[in-house]
Amino acid sequence: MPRPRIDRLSAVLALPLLAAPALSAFGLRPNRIAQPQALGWAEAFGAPTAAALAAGTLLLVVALLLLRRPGLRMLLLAAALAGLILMLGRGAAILLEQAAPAARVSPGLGFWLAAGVLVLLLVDAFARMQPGPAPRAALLAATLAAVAALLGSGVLADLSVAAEFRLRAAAFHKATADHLVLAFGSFLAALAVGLPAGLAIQRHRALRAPVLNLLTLIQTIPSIALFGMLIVPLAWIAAHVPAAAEAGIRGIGMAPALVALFLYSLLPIVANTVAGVDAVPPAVAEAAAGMGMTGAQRLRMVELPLALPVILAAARIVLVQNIGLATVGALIGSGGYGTFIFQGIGQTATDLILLGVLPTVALAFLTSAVLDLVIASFRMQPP
Amino acid sequence: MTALRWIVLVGMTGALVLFPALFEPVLRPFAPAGGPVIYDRATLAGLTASHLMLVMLAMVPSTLIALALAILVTRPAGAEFLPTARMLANIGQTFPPVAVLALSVPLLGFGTRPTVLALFLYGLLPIFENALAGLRGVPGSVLLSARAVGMTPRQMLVQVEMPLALPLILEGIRISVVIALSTATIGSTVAARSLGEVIIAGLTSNNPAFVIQGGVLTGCIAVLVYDVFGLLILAARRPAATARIRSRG
Amino acid sequence: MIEIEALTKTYGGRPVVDGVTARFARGTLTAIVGSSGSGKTTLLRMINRLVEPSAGRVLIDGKDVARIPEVSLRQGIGYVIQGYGLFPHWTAARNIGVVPTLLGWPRSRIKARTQELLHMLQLDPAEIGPRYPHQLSGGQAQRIGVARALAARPEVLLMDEPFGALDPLIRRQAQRDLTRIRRQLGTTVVLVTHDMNEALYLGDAIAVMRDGRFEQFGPPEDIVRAPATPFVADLVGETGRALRLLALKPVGTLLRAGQAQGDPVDAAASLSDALAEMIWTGRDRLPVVDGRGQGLGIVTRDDILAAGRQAPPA
Repeated sequence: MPRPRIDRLSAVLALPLLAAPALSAFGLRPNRIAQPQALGWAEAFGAPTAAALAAGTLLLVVALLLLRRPGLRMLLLAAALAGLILMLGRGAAILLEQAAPAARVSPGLGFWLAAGVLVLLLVDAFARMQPGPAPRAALLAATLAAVAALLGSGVLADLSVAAEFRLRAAAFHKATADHLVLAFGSFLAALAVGLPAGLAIQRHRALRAPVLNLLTLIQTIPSIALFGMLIVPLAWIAAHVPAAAEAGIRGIGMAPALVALFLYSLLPIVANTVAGVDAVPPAVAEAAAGMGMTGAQRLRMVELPLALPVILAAARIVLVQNIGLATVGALIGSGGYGTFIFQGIGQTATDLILLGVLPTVALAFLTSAVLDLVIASFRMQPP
Repeated sequence: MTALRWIVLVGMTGALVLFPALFEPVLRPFAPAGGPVIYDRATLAGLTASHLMLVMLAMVPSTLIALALAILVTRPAGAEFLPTARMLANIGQTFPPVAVLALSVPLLGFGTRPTVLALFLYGLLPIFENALAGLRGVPGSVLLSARAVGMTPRQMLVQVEMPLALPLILEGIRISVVIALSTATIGSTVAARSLGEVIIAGLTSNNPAFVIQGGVLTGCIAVLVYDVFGLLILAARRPAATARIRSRG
Repeated sequence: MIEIEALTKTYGGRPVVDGVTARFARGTLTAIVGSSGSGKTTLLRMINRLVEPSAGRVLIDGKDVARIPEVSLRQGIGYVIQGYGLFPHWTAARNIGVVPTLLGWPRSRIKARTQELLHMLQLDPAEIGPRYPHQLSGGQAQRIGVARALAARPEVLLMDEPFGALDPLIRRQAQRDLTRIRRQLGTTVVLVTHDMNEALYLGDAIAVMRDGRFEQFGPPEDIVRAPATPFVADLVGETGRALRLLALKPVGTLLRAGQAQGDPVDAAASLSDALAEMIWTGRDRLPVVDGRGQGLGIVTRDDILAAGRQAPPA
């Protein structure tokens, strides 16, 4: 670059970042479902600290406008984000000391805005480094460690969402187990059925269109509709097949949700298996046949390994989709994080909603990031 | 086969919306003894209209903004935002629609507004991603030719890039609309008027007849909308075929 | 006429085109030959400013192209590339009419011009015009590409490997078509190719390009007879140079008065063709006729052999 230029994304985001300290940093409620009272940083830390924070934000914005090296930007932004979160936790503690025993403190709009902008800029700095799998793995590990340290340290223990968690620790762990069973169990079942099915219709072209059309049709049905309508046949099975009822199959609960998620999972797995094997270069397949490999050997030694990245991409799609859709299962009593979300909506308790949303998003993000890394490392290997 | 599918879908949807009483004999066995068989707290036609309106209200701005963003990051002036935009889109996909819906409630209260906001936000990503893929997928030789014949950047966009990206853009809108139809159903848990009301009513009052009515109707509408987009995509993808249809008609 | 003055393009400090100066005369075809990475495509693209020069300038008929707005400059210059870059969502006819449309010609005039060009390229307007690019054969697509480039009657036509995607038989035909059209229209053509045979066959002048510079720039005979550098010699090929030289010249250049027996040869045929005919039929002189079959004289074997020697006969 011949002349220094200001960073354009920072210029766009400077205004919201500068406005954030002026907006409410906290919401203070006399009890868990009352309307929040918006409080600024000054109410928790006093005017001088709040002024220093505003000045610090201004300095940060100037630095971001001028600094163009992504590595430096990442360090600066990570430090700023850490500082912001620590101040949130400390501020919540101060506010609670002065408030009634049942009072709750949640992050306010200004906090969310500042955190959002900082995360956006972090993502931007990281994207500009065009990172390979190794730096991405390192960042993921560092983020996980930071989150674990943050949650373990108790810095955020005074926030309302942490209070919601303490009230429901046992239910939360049960929900986590249910959510994992729903998302991963249905995926494994779909893999066991979808992979062979995909290989079969890859070889029998006439079956392709009908099978893929049917699976697309299923994917198109809205989630509640499918979940709900599966109640009817499963209730019938439970009523007429004693063994099934003993195995825990009932009209509502885990069973219809698992079946629905299994059905939703089939399309990506089957379609990507077909696409992955289709994409094996004909010359490679021909060479494999030419050197006398049997059909099974060709599948195991050539076609499946070459199709693996595409099939893994399907696994990523399915798992992220399942983790999200499993929340809907709460409406038919399947358990999982959705329970908190819909309870929270019912009670207009934002922090209870967050108790369901945050782990769902974290789980989906983690799964997606790990699978992305696995896929990228497969693609990096020499063929 | 295709014709049969259209007839079944349109017939089922139309009958369920306009003459729900026709289904009473079929649904009777599923209803609790003595309980109502046909949902009567609101007309299915009204709920369907409201459901579709929610989706429209969200999808029109969603499409416009997502397209504008995709166009921006594929212009030279916006190229530096491309990696960031792609990474953000990738991260955004991990947010479940329900999460977006649930978090809209504290911001906007109950009813139509949080639902529309959630549908709008969640609709952006598939349209953006597909538009991006479409615009970036225009062959280099075609872009070079467009410049070489003396098109302005604007002419290139309107006359060459957008028409060539159109099938993928429509594909993105289709994905978003199908998700929106599904999320609008869940919107009834935050008191938006949609067909989800029928299903939720069935679930809470233990009346499978309601669940089936609502479920079949939303399913039919979703598949119908999906198929309509399929026709549009086909038309956009095969200019030759549509030109022939037009000249014949 | 196209004049190139000290034209340079650098990418990241590395020159891709390095101070090239040359003139391409009006109505001629200049073939720029080089391997990939030699800078030939970059040079070509600086003429219609698809690539902006780092230094130097290009003049067309005395006008500096940098002073002409990009869009109108390009609308006045035809451009044909290897993959043709036909717009896949438009019919062949609409592809041909794109520049006239951009120029705002009336619809009827565009239609007439499209038909005229399709006729000139020996394509049936009613059959080929409404087809989409994916419905065209390679040869047809190539001709549509040429027609599109010629639609607004450009003075200058730039071609970048225009025959590269064609199989050998169709390529021959396309090359013959180009020669015919060029004679008909008098267009100045600059053609980039990696194929020396193609350059020798088509070019009035040949520029051999390597590492961003012209190694040799001159008429085809000079290139074959006196390669300026080992690289040029390598491109022309060590063997069979005499026959290549003979392939460049028509029989008409060695005409003598006299009589000869047997089938006559056309004055436009190459000397190598005439020599082949002599070897095949065991004659040492052939009668020469013009296009209408009128006797012009004879051509002799000794004259042909002399014309193929390394140094021109005194």
